[in-house]
Amino acid sequence: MDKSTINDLMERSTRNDHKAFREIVEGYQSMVYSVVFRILCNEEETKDTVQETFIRVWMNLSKYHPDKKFSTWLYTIAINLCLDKLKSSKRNFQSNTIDETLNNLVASENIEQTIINSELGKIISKLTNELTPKQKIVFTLRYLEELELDEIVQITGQTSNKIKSNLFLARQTIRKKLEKY
Amino acid sequence: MENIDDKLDNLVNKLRQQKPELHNAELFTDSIMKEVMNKSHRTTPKFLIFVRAVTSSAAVLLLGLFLFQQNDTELIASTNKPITIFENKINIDSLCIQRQSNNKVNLIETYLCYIQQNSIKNKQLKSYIIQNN
Repeated sequence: MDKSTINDLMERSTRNDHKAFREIVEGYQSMVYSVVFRILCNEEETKDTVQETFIRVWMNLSKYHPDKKFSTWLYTIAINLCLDKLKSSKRNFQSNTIDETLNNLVASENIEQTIINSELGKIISKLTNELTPKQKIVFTLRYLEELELDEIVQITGQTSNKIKSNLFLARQTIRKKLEKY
Repeated sequence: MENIDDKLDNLVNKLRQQKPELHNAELFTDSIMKEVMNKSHRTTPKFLIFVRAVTSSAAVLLLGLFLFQQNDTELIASTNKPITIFENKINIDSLCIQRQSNNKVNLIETYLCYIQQNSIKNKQLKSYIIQNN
């Protein structure tokens, strides 16, 4: 979605145009889903967070500056919500994942995709579960989402040096883990 | 060591290529829009903006009056022209109260009256001090 289109849709959304906002949701929900899933590694939590992200976007439409990149603003909201979730809950993926995977498999209409997502979630979780929330977020944004350092600075509010340090520490932790295999 | 780095890069590449997919995207959009419909935009109430503007203006006005009054008093003291104190005895309080009770002035004008009379009082006091010195 190009800048003029998104600005037009945002403008219409501020005038309570739900159709315009639906187009924004349709255009960006996969992007938000992808990054949130890679951080939280849990399908249900991811869906809740994506929903909350778009509700926040809707409620704060007036705070968006058209000169800034929309996706960066959207990432910022989603990442802040992820950070809150990572900090607030002492997450134990190992014990939860089996139950949740089974629940998802029973409920899902698209079993193949559910299995792919759940396996992917388990792998990322196994790889990154010893990282701090901030390390996990910068690792995901830089290595998995392939965002530029400048954009990560804008999204996380951390300095570029701090991000580099977090990336280094994240990489070191994951390397140590891989030494066992 | 290099081997582990390669292993890590390889793994990260594979994870990057394998994007988590959102299935039933349309249903998911519907559920988001359902929630959105129940919420309204967060905007600052117009009344609050009006109150902010009025209180800010009042604060600036009062500060300005205070500074003006202070400056005026200082100027009289520095000119060193003695004014005979008590030659025009004005009962300040009664004057302002009287004007207000006659409904000739509103609250702001009464306040300005007090400031004006206080200013005169200050001038008289300064000149009295200068005379005595």
